[in-house]
Amino acid sequence: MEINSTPAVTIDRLLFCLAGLGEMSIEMTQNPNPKTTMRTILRMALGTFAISKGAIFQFRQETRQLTLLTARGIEERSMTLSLPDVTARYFHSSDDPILGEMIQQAPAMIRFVDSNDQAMRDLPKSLWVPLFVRRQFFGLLMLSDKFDRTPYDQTEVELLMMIGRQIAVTLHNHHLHFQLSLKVLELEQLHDISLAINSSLNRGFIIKELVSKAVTLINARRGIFMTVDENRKELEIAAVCNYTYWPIGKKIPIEDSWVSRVVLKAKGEIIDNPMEIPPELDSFNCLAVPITSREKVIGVLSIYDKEEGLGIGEFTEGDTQLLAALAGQAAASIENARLYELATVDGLTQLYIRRHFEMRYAEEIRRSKRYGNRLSFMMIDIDHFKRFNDTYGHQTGDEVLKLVAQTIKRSVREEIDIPARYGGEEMLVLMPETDIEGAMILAERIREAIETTGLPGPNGDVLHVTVSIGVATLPVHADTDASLIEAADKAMYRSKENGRNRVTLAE
Amino acid sequence: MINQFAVTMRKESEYAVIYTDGYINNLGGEKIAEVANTLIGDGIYKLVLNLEKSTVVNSIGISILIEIIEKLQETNGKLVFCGLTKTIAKTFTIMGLTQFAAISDTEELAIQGL
Repeated sequence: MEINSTPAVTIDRLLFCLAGLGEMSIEMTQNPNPKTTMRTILRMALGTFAISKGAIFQFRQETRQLTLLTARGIEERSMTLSLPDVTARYFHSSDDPILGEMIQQAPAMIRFVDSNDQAMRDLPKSLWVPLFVRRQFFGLLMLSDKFDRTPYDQTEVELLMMIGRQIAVTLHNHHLHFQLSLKVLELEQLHDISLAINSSLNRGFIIKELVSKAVTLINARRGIFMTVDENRKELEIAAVCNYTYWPIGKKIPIEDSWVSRVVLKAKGEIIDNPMEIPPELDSFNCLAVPITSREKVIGVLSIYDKEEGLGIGEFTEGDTQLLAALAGQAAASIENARLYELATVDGLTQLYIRRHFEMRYAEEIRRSKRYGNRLSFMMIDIDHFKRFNDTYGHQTGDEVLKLVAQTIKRSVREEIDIPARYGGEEMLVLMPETDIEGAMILAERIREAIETTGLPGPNGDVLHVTVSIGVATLPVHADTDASLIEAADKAMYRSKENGRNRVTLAE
Repeated sequence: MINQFAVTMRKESEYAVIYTDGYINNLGGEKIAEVANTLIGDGIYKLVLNLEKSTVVNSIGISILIEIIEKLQETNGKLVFCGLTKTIAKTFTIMGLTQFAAISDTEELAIQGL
């Protein structure tokens, strides 16, 4: 403050500075947009001290670079400055302002300027104020000479340091606010996903949903869910997202797997060495978390290749925590679904048991009558099953039951149709909101698929079975729950009488 | 504070006079800069800034005025202030603006001083 440096002028100028500082503090607390705040603050600082040019850079820990937030007096464009180690150490060790002479002479600063040669040409180099919050380097305020070319005096440097601290705190607060907003968003997504998963009791559906939602939530490219067997020896692929190579049901010894530590330690892990991931997965990195139920690892949820811009980024500790939270939510749902399955699903065929079917049947009949929807039903009986059992033994007979059941399960609509084992070799499918035509198409598809699928026989030969099917629709062929089953049953027997291996519609 | 700022302009062949009305802060400063930049773009490098109806200028206002002065310096142009209140005149003086842009008492004197 050399010009007109009479006491009165000095006081007037200080008063103007104080007014400027007051305006800056109001701006820092009022504007929610960090970019706008920084632009205004820089302008206020330049105006308060009559400085021509200035720039505010923010230090990015993840890239160890300085990114331009705003500039005045020079072109405001996208700009990053690399920070050589020697300069980074300097900035991290001291929050003292760096005056022009030092910028030109200190080795750490010379290195900084040299390594950003092109960008540095236009940048102001008369006074640099490091931005610090709790001894943490947050960025750099770069200033040119003052408009009247007088050197910065001690008071001005101290006031600019004060402004630098305020800028750093504001940046820090915006950073925290941003992080908090991200967390809130993540938690909202987590809540939505949990609701979706918890709304089903179908284990296959839950697992499939879990993998696909995990991939979306963490912004990864692919995902796999593997179950752990009772003896903790093998993993089995239960669901995949965006992988075609890995077939469902493939088994992998835990010891040989890339996620063995996750199972053994029951702890999430980031694998960032591509050599540790099987080449068939074609992935650079992986984040895997255990699914734990009653302190036992029952599965592993793993996601691959975190998306970042146009390339692949790195999974973070935050991602691990988020995925672990999702896994924790899912574990309870998977366990509930497993217990539900035990209570409702036939162990041999994996179709619903008769008692569960009857419950669902009563519900669907009520729904159909209330809303006037068509409800179709098919009864399926394996042709000559007794003869088959007598000829090839019960073990082969069980394999036939499994084959027919799997074909039925594959053919019906997941979470809509209700396939069940009615007893012995009789199976059935309840098809809500399905008319005669739809039911007949599905029945014919099932019949044909079973006829054409071979089963390895005990002597190395290939065995074939056929089924007879009867189809009935409410309210066309029946008007009560008992008469619908009866109508389909009669149609099924007509298929038998007419030569088997056919579909017959009820009369 | 309700910010009602207005800027008008009288353009002659060699120079132009910019008239402000209201608080010269972020918004006011931007409006002045917009008019000044348009004039400079049109080849008018001699400007008079008549601040008769502006009684307060803040730090952003100063910053924007410095930008205008620097832009005029690049084109060998000139800026003269007139109609300043005592407070604004004192502010411009202590901030060093008057070393690069003169202050005149009246608009006529300001035009003569260009």
